Amino acid sequence: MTASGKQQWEAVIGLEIHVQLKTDSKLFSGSATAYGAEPNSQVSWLDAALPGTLPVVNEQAIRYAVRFGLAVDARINRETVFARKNYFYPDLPKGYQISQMDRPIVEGGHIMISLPDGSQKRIGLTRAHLEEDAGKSIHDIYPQYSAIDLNRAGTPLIEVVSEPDMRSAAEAVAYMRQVYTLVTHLGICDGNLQEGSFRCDANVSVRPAGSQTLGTRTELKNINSFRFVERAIKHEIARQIRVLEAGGRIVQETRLYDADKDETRAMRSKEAANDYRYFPDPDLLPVHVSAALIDAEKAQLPELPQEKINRYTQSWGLKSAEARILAEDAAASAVFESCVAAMQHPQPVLAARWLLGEVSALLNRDGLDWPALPVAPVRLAGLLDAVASDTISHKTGKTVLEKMWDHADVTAAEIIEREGLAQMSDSQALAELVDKVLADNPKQVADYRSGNDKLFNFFVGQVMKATRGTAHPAELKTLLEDKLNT
Amino acid sequence: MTAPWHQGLKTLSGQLRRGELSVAELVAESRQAVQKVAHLNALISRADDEAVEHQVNLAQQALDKGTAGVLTGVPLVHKDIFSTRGLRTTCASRMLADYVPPFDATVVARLKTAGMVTLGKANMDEFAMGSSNESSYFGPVKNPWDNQRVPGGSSGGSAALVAAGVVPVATGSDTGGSIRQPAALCGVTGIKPTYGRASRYGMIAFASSLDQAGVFARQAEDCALVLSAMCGHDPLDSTSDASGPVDYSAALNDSLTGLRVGILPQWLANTEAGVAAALEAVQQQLQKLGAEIQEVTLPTADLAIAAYYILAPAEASANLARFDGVRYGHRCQQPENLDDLYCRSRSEGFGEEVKRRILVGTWALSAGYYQAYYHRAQQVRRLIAEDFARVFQSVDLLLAPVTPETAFRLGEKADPVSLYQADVFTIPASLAGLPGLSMPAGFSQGLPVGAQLIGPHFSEARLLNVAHQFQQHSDYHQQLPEARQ
Amino acid sequence: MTITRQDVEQIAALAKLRLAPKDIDSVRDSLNQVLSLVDRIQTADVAAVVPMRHPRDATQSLRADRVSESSRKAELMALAPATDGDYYLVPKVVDTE
Repeated sequence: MTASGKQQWEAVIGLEIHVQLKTDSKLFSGSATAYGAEPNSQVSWLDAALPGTLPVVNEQAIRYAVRFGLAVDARINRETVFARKNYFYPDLPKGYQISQMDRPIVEGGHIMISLPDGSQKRIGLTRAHLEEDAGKSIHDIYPQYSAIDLNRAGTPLIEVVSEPDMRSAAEAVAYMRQVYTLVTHLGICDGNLQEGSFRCDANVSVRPAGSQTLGTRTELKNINSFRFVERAIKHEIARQIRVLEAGGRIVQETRLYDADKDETRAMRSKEAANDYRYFPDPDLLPVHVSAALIDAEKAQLPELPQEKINRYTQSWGLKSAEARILAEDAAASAVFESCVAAMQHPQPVLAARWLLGEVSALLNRDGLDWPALPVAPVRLAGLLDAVASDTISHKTGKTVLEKMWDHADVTAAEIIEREGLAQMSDSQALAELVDKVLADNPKQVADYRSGNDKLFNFFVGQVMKATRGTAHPAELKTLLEDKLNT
Repeated sequence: MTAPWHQGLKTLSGQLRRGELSVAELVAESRQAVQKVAHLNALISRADDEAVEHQVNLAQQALDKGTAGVLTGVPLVHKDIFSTRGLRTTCASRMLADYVPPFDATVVARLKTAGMVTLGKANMDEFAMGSSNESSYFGPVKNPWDNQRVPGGSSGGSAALVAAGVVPVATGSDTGGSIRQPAALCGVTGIKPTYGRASRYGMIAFASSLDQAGVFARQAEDCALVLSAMCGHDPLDSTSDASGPVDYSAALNDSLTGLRVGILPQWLANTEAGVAAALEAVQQQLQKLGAEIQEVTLPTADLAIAAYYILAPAEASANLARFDGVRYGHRCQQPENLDDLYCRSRSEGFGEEVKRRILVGTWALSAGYYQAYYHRAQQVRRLIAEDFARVFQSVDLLLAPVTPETAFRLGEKADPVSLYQADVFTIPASLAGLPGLSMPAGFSQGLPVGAQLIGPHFSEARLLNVAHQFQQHSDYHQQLPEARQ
Repeated sequence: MTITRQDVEQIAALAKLRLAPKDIDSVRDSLNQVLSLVDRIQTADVAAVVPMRHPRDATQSLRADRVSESSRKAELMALAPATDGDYYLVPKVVDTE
């Protein structure tokens, strides 16, 4: 709720998120979808809308959309229909976009977001429908022309439409992050924000606090980073409140966020009075989503982040902050789980602390992401086993990790063996060494026995020096106490 | 003297195989004959000599090696709605006056594979929107039986060339009657198969849920041969039926004994006398061949034109949105801005009838009218399809007029709505997606009359069988215009 | 149902067709003729009739996710009325995203 002057205002926000699906080929043609190709080189006859060409649906896109629907607990429409959305724009070759209107593939569902106070809020989803992306219009090559690249035209998207359930820019961002985490986890989107794989429009309105009727909304277009979404929505809320408090009215319009000027402004022309004239695409029959397909996707459904967090905290004893960091990053949680699985005596808490501590520190130092981790999880597990079994100390473990970091093919065991880093836990050998140290330092032994307790640490130091730090500290202490005090 | 294909493709194929005629001679004869009827304005583009020669050589080699099929070396023209790689494809529009497709339509590719030799592209109504071939950017086609009259449309050029006897085969497309109506008005055999039987890939779309490719020839037997080669599932057209090719020749000689033929007295009552008389004669002939005649009704069929002129323009309004002056086709000079580029390119590129239908379709889909028009028209469409389904529980096929009258004069139906009525008997089957065949049924005052056979889905073989049996006992399909003049 | 001059202008704008002012009345008249023809469907009893979206009572066959196309850039650019060899060119679009 936003206070401004006497009146209390409440913002009402709904998001439409365009999620590019990670298919190899386009939604309706066999053209590649790779980013960054030479302009107009991934354009088939169909993508250029040559007369007589016809769309054929990519099954993988259907599967990805179903997977999303299952993950948000939505209804999957078993017969889903493609429709034409008609408007003219140079990057829309057919003069219509193939999208969905009635019977979208996914209806309903919800996403849980975490609020700063630690509570959870449920954001309802209206629908998620399949559609094709447009091409790109490039305006800064020529002064008098816009240049059109159709490489992106026809790339499959799902448009995830939320209910107007969010009440602040912060909630909107939390929701957007949650959707992002989900689609990257599901493996249906590469999540590359710079390349436009995940784009967001926001519908924003404000109303007097306590009112049940919705105010007139504006649509903020193409706000494609988490930071911009938050700022754009904040600005728009503030602008609407300013207008209303000055006695003005909000005009239903599309506004663009200008990141440089940090403000939103109305678009002048484009879709001013558009009437999209949706109708079922007669080139495409209804798609039957079979029970077999749904079952196969269900079986493939990875554990969702929230489920993972619960498992990490409840079954594995992680702290919730640790669990969240690992669970929300698909690559990190994959490393974590492989590590735990590969340990001889799995200790998830130890593994989590090492990954979030020492391993993260080295990743940061080298500017690497989890997928680029130089030490394979199986090798990490070997290291963790050595620490867990007290073969080496935590401190020695760090040294071993650094050596493993730089030598891809060496195991922890090999390093420990080669460099004699294992803690000396052979009691007989250690006892002999202690005897030797005491025999070599009779003066100090006498001083200690006459009351100089501080000398105890001197003997520890001498033994550690002789063993190059591999003596097991607790065992050494017991031995020394036994020998000195008799 | 009649052309070597006049007795049918089987006879022709025998001559080619035995070496009594070379492919080069055959093709040269057809090309010259086409030139001689240039006054009909039936051809928009001629295939160039080199391309023809190449196809001729391939066909001759196949014949020499003994790998030829029955269609090898047979010349044909394609309606200019089918994309032909390297050969201008205009759809009879200024919009595409210079458009040379980089790929072949599936129908074109299949007939090429069968060894047929493409001579050129036949004139038609612009974007297949018309029933008289008068909306072509390249001017009207004339009916070979009377050059003052229309050949019908939209596949007017295809029908006229086959009727004139200058090519043995032409392809066509039928959205609301565009094969059957010109076949009737020109006195040739034409078949539109079941929707989904022939691939639409590469056929420039008018109304996607209605468009269907088909074929013209003198006789049903030849249509069967060509249809067998062009039909079958195409992975590039997801609305094409999943079944593979069918041999439509196999059942041509089946007996008609016990065949249940439905007739529609209400339709016959709305035809001119000469047409009704010819239909009556066909009915008697079929009875002689063993068929049983039953009177039936299609109560909702009189709403078909109304539903069609909502649905087809609505689909067309979207299908023709791609013609925007950006990637191919006509672009206006010196556009002031983007909107000017769109509006002027499209207004200059499209003719009057095309623009009218785009406007009607845009209106029918627009907010506020969708339910009352588009949605309701789809409901009416189902009623019509159900009417047919009911009728086909008691009869095997329908015998009906193709048109209410014979070929009318050029310019006679200037107002669009009176022209729309020309398809009153062909549109119902189109809406239901049913196969329809038009066969020569006689003459009225020197002009051909057609009889229409309509069957249930995928009954093409039956329709061709009935037409073939009729043609064993009639010679209307063998009459040539000059013999009558 | 009848269409007005203003309706004609609005539909033409949606369809990106430009009509000369002198032609608008005749276009309106011919559209109204067509409308009087198609308005006959208003007489049909369609209560509870499921709209027939397509003549084929079948469902869509699906395609495997495989890249089957290679670059057609040269051929596509050759078809286009205005390009720089890399891009299609249109008059500058104002108010961009």
